[in-house]
Amino acid sequence: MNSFIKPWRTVLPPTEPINPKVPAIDVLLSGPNRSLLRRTFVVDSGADVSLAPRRLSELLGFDWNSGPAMTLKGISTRPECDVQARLLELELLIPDLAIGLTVPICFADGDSSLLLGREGFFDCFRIEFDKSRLLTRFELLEV
Amino acid sequence: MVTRKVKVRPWTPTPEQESALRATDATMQWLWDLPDEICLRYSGQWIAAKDCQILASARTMTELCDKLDNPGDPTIVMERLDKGVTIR
Repeated sequence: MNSFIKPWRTVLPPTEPINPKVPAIDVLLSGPNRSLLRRTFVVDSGADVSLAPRRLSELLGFDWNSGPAMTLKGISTRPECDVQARLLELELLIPDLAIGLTVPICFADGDSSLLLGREGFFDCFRIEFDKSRLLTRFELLEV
Repeated sequence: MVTRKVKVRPWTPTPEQESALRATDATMQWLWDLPDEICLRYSGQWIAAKDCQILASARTMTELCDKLDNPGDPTIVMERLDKGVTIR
């Protein structure tokens, strides 16, 4: 088996004017201190890179300062909205396929969503979003 | 560069990993289809959950970890619930 389908996950209350579910995947994160944390990431084809808060890198035993520095920019172009981050290589274990992969993740100084973006993660899978059925299909590519 | 070379390898869970998965399966499923009232109550917050119950909530992951005795406990799942329409 080299593919699997995940239903979208609820992240918004029903009072919001848009669909409350988003494409997501649950993974196990393995860090330098041999910790093992299970988290759900939003699968975000609009994100250049994967993203997580700095605190998560520390829970996993990373030295945040050891990664290359990056400046993240979002929807606002104002410099005061830029966020400092470090790029670290993180091991993701995917129970649905019984595989492990190492992908670059930007750990933002401060809070952020958990996102899996294009660089790295999308190089491993052909990903189809089906909003009509609120499903995502992940097909592992030969990498 | 069109694609990044990513190391993908087969993974057979160790007993410790298998145990972490089993311990969080029900909570993960519960969070996946979270009841509306919980979504409303914790909208815009991080939540920590274990055994299908909310242990703590906070505005940021750092604040959430500060409220937990052992934030690195592999049987605890943390999630962020959105508030409002988000452009990530």
